[in-house]
Amino acid sequence: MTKNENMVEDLEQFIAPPPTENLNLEARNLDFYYGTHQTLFNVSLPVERNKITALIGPSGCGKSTLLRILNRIYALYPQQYAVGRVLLDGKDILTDHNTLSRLKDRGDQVELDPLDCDISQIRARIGMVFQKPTPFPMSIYDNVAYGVRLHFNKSRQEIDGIVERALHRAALWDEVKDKLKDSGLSLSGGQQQRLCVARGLAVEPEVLLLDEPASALDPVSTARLEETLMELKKDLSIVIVTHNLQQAARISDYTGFMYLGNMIEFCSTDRLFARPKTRRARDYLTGRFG
Amino acid sequence: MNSNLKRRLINKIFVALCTLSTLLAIGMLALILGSLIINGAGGLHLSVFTQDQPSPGMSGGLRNSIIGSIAMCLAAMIIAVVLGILAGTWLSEYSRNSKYGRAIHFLNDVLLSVPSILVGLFVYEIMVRPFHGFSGFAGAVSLALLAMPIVTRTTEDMLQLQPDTLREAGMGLGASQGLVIRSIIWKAAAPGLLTGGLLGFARISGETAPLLFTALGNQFLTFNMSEPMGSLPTTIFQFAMSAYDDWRNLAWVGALLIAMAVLTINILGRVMTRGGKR
Repeated sequence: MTKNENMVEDLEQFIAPPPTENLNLEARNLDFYYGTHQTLFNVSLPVERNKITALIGPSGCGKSTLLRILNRIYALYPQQYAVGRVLLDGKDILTDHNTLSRLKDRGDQVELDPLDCDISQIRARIGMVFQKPTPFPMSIYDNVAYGVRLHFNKSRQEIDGIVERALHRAALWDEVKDKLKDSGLSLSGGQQQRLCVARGLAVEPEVLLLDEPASALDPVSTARLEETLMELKKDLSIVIVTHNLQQAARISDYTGFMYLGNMIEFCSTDRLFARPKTRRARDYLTGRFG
Repeated sequence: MNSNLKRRLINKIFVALCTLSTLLAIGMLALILGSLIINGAGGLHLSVFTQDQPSPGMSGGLRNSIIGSIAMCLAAMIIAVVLGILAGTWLSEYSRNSKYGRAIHFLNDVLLSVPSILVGLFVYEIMVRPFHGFSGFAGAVSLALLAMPIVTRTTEDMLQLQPDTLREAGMGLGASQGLVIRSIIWKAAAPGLLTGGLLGFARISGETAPLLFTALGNQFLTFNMSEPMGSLPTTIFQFAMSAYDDWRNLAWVGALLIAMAVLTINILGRVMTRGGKR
């Protein structure tokens, strides 16, 4: 491999993944490129079922990029591409006929015939919540019903029920039940973010990806969101990118520490925060850099 | 101390110049509106809307011109809004950073500042001469060609203002790009798109030159757009140059009507965009 400015010298890693049979989603040996610029290097991320997996690391380390590969949202931008595997319940959702040749170029042994999987279905199964709340310019009800109408052919009454349930699960129902027809934009920032969670939940995803969901929220709203996530993990698996170390320690079961596009350390949250194995993780957690 | 004095003096001069320029611009506008009202308001009777263009010395109104203007502007706006919004959407959503996108964007900017008389001549060549006749349709097309670049440009700008995260959120739920644009991005940009339409309308409502080559003008009332059609600007052009006092008075009334229509539309546009911001 040619020398790259982002290459970490003396790469010291420690990876202690959960047992393979419990994995809901798994990224394997991912490289990622913005044009010719490589930003992820052979990154793997196991996501255990019904657990919260947190990604931490200094700005620009590739946490968000990794998250954006998992539901292939990066593919909206033609100059960006990922090489590697993302397995949802064991089935590769990243490799299609375009990326297959890149895998082979890299020298990977490709054992299965990749399918061109339906990206719309993938995104319904892997929901995403962004850093800034992104309510659609329509009513609260229509925001939550948007994905349902897209993927399922449901009657009006059924959609009513799904919307109510999703809002309950996102802990927003009591605040909005009397104004479902109001614009989603009329809610406060914290409520908007929980609306986005509800919108994602309405299509019953297996995995929920959150990209710094609390960074624009005040502490009270953040606490509500965290409670919501703790409740939600009973039904689905969660991956959360956060800059807030306390948040990762509070809510996550596993934590991955990334640095300059590499996964440096991945293990259970208790272990990472109590006894980090690698020097870089130790330095980051004690505030010596980052 | 000395430099402080100098700085304050320069500041005073600059503020004075800015104020003066603003007053000058507003003063001009006030003069124009003032003379329109003084000369036009007196002739503003109901008959202006109920009677057609008179012969010199007879009583009459502007009904045929008003109807012609409304018909041609409406048809022009339908064409301009449909094509302009689609073109602006293509520029903003489908061809960002592409070679063709940049070329079309540039050409649209050129079209934005093409003299209207050239548009009139162009439509004369492609619609009037081949069909051997002036028509309201030709007039509408020439007006549409003037409004379309404005709608296109405004649409492109307004869609680009929408954050990428909104598009990602829509597609993150599994919607296709086209559906996200139609059901989310257009909705979010709706006040801006409306402003584009209103700006285009304000631009064409007073255009005279292209209509002289295409719709020609018609002193009789017609709803048939395949015939020559009257319009307020062409009638003003004809009447204002005439030797008859009653014609010139009607020209003032027509000018006042156009100015009022444009003013109303601009104010409406402002109110609507403000309503959408929130």
